[in-house]
Amino acid sequence: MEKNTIVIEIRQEVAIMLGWLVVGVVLVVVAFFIPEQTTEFWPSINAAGVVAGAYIVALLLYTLRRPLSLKARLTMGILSAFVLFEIAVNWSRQEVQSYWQKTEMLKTREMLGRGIMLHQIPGPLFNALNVYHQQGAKKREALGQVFQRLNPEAMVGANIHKPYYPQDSLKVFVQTLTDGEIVLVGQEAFVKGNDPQFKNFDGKRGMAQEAFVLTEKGITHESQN
Amino acid sequence: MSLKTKFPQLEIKDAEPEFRPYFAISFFAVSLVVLLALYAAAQYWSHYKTPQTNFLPQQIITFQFFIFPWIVAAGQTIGNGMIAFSGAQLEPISTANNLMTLLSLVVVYIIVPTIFFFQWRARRLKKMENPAAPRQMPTISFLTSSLMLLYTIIPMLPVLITQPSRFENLKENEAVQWNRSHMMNDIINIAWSARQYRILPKELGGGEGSYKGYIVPNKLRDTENATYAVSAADNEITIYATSNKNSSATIFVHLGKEGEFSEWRFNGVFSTGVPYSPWKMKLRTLRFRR
Repeated sequence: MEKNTIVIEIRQEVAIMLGWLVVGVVLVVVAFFIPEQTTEFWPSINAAGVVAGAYIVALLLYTLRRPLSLKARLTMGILSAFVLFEIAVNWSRQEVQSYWQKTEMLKTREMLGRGIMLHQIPGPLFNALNVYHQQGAKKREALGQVFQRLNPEAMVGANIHKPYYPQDSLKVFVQTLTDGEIVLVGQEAFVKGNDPQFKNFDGKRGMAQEAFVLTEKGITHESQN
Repeated sequence: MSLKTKFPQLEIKDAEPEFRPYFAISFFAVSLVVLLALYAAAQYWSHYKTPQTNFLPQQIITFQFFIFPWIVAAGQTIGNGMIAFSGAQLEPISTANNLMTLLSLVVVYIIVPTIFFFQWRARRLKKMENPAAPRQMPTISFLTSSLMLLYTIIPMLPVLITQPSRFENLKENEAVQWNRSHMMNDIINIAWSARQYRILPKELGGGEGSYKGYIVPNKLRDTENATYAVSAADNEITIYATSNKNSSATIFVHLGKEGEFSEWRFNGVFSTGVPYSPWKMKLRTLRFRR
């Protein structure tokens, strides 16, 4: 039986180019998926970018070899080096800048959260202090009784903050409620504080927390985390 | 039936052009028009269809970012920051976006340079072998790869020059806003202290219903952010703040008898932002855009 054969002629340089392409693509794909896949692109593209950069350098060394003229090799080599430098600089700057912007955003959120606590939480305490001292020298009600009368929902452990909007995650807990002292603890649900191991009032860890203590002499404030 | 692949020896000799001149020129023109049309479509899409969402995660990568994977990554990072700002949960990157980014890396940084450099070398070698031969028209693959490289390289040049000053400007503005925000927090602390003074009886060192006599406590008078002073009347107090980072930046605010703020006034850089230097103004007039 005759065997039919199909002969595919491939020029040598095309075959070599295809070989380079296959190697380059495989290396970049593998490098891209080596880092753990997270919520950021940077680990993957940095790994793949380093491999791609090494590939391009190797490609330059191969394609700029003799018998090309020295002038052509130098010109293309210098231009390519400049382009690689341009890409590397833009790449690294963009990474630095984007992480900086993200950090600034989170710092701003923390400051906003603390500022809101500073603005919102003392309100009920000032009201109680004002009513208490308006009684004059003879006090009929203790400070704690005044606070509880003005804030009927206030019990030890209760959250007395009413959200102003759906994403308002601030909580204000009553830590202490005695005749002479009221302690309110303000806590954010997702704004990180200074110490990631700090145990928050509601059992979470590491969230921003501020405490406000009311006595008959006034309000003191402590930034707990 | 079986397949055999033969590798004939490379022979460099005078070669006829691959295409007739008018065909190659028209194909080049068509390629250029197609690329320009794609670019215009991408611009239209990004500005009018997805105006504010280019940097949110899960967004399909737009064409102009396809060749700059670091811009895609930067957008993802900033988008993650915005999500964390709102308190929502971060989600892993979608498979589609991962594959698009990988495709951009493979096409723009492996396939295009490989084709370009191999073809460039082949053309140089042919010219060296026969310098008297007429100039050969470039192949479509060489033209396309050259255009892609130019489209990648040229926009990066102005960014390389302007990016450091833009980043410095961003940091300066951020520092100004930071200073302003810290000063406002300090003012809130002073407002507390003044309101408390007004409530407390004279026996406890208070104003017993008046702000008169209130003095800013030492620890609040001069902080790392600003210096503070007050002007106190019976039912109103005015707080003056002068930034320690920039003496032309000041804040005035009135506090009423119930502790309510009114008439916030921000002066200096707090109201105008960081002024541009003449160099920065010149760069803005060049209208480089990404």
